Amino acid sequence: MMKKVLTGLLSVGLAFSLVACGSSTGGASSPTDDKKETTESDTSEESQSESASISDWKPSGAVTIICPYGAGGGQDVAARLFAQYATEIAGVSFVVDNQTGGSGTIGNTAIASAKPDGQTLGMFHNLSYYDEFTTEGVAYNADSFTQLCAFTADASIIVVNKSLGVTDLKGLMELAKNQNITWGGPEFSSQTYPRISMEALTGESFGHMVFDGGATSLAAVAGGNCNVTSVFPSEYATMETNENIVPIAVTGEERMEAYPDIPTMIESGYDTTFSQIRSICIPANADAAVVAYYDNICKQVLDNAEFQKSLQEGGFAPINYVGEAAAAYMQETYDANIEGIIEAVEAVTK
Amino acid sequence: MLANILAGVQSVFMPLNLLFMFLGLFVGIIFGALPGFSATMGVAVCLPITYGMNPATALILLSGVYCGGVYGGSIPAILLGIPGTPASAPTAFEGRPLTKRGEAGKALGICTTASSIGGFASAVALLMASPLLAAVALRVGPPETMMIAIFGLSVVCMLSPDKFFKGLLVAAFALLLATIGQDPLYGYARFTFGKLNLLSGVSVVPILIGIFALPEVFEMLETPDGKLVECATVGRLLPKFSDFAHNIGNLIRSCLIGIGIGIIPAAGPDIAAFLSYNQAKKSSKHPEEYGTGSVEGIIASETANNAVTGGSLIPLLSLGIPGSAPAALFLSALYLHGMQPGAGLFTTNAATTYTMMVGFAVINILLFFTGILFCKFAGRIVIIPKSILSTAIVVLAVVGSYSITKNMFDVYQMFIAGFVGYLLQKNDFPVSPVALALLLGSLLEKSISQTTVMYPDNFLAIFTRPITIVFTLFIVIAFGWPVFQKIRKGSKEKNTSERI
Repeated sequence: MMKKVLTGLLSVGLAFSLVACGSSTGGASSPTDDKKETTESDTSEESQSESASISDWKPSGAVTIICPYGAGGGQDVAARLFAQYATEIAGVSFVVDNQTGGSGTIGNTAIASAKPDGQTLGMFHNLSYYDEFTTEGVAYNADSFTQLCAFTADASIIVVNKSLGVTDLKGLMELAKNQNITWGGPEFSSQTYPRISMEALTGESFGHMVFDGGATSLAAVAGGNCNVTSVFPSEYATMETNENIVPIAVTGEERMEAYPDIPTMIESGYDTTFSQIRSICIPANADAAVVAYYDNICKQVLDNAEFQKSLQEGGFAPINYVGEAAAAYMQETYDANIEGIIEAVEAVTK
Repeated sequence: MLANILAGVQSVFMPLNLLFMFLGLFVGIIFGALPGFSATMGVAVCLPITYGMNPATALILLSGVYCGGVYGGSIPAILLGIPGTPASAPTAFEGRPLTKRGEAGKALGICTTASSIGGFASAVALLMASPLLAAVALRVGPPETMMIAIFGLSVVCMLSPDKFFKGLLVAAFALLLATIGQDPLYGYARFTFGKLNLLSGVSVVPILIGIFALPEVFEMLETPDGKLVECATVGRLLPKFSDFAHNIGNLIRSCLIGIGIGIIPAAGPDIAAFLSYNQAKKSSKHPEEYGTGSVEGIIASETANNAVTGGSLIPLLSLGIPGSAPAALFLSALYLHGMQPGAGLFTTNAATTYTMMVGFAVINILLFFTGILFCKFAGRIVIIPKSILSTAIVVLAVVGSYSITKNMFDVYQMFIAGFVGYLLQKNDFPVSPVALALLLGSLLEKSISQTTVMYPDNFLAIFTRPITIVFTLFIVIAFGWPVFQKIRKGSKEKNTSERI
């Protein structure tokens, strides 16, 4: 009796499969259709193999994002925002680990020397590429990292104390010819790079005042303890109503949407720009499947409208480069600034 | 503003907010009480948990952890002589002798009450005078910071008056150690021997963990049997009214020092505690009691270090500058919840900001009850056998040192500091000047460098700045005080012998 039932079921199954085959292969088919079918089938195979390679690998547990800078700073906030959205999208925890010290070199060394097994990522910025020139004993270079995505390009605002009586960059440089002007910010950071460029372009020099961060430098300018600094828009926004500070230029290629009245350095007559590019990287030599997995996650995070909104609310200027495009973009900025950085390092060491 | 405060009061007493206040305090006290762990770590651990929360509740939770963490450090300082955080080091000077006399309960009760009062006063300053105090913070520049650092170093003279020269020697050596790392002006690496780990200088917190915790462990190992105290209870925890009635001036001064140091970005609760302790000792009618279990000393230290909590949030909320390490994490929390420090916090985000600020005051009231409850159980730590306790302290010291930057190099530094600290103690050298000199050394060097850039031609021009002049006077008094006391003592003795 059992055999009969089984035979019956198999027969019905076979009948259904024959009907299905008939409907897919039956009827006249033109060569074009064949070609189309082949292409569709190839594409589907390709996407299958792509998704296979993506799904082939997944993090075995929480993913650590090493942030070489302390809590509260731009790198930390950017890393935490990325981690928040990546966790939601990937369904795996992304945990920010602040490994500070040595002006970021301790954390960058930890990223570069981590196993490229996909469990450790790094919060990176383009100035870290130059650490091998600016900091003694650094054992990593641009080749030690694979860039997964670049998601903000943050220009700075050059701000002066009102008592200087200048309203533009030209006025500041004129004043610097006859007066000791102090320019504050952390050494070899995006806050001081505009100063380095201006010194290189004009031959004038400023008194270097080293502060822990942009907010502290800006407070020093507002309090009359320092003459000039350059800060990120998020830092400027905290004190933009202060009557003692005057913004004179922005360091990006274009004016900022939030501050359309502030001219760029180029518009002010000085052919230079600088933006800090923030990216997520993985130690070099990671497996292609690992990189593919993160490319996919990064793409989803960067395409997320809420993430873009959060970045803007945090005072960042979002960009969207994933995978090889991110690597190429970072390389481009590296090439654009390397000469200026080496000149500045030589000037300091002299 | 009043309407905003009232709205804040309404919102703070929502059950969920109250729950997170208690939770934050509890977590914070545990982080503060474990030697090697800190308020900063507590806030860092809780930060990701707040992602999905309402911003006000998130900030309330973090405030609870922050206040609890700063307070919690005093518990092991009193019971074991090991400050849970560097800010509780002066508390250990007085708390430990009281514990040895079987008066741990009294010390813990006074410490909890003083912490609550200090924290509450800072919350009131945060709520009522943020814009005004932020304007003061802007006026504090490198010359003033330099003077504060020198003034702080003057505490060395008072910390160990009977070992004056030994104290100075230890402080001078620690100041030299503080010069290791990048030069603050151009970033040159100094005395790093090519080691990146030394680029940011020696790791202050691991060294302080080692220098305070390990010598206690070695001392326990000298007589490993038995317990620290044979008594099973800590005694009465609720302090007497008279303890505080006699210390009104001390309380007010300590609150002002704590809030003042809090609004200065570079200085934190540790410096406030030392300064306040020092001032209390100078003003005391019984300075000879200091070091033997002085209630005044505990009140001064604990009121000031907790008064930093609210003070440090003033420049943070108004200017985006964190006044202490945990306050820096608040900055991350603000950005992550879509808020920006500055004027907007008090207008656009007024509901959240005022809820947090009112919450800060309520948290410091709740701190008293949570703290007393916690001390009831924590007090039993002294009856744990020494063999187990010493092992636990070493484990915590290692974990605590490692977890700050996740670097084994910090653990090595902690052990070296521990052995050096033990040798110093055995040879009758005071170790507390190490803490002060390490905490203030880099601050002093950086501010001197900045000041020389500000006044390249005439350094003396710093005396055209009013706040600098005030601090200079303080320094003169601080350094001259021991000499003055010596002369006065000498003339008194002379008079007495003449009468006889």
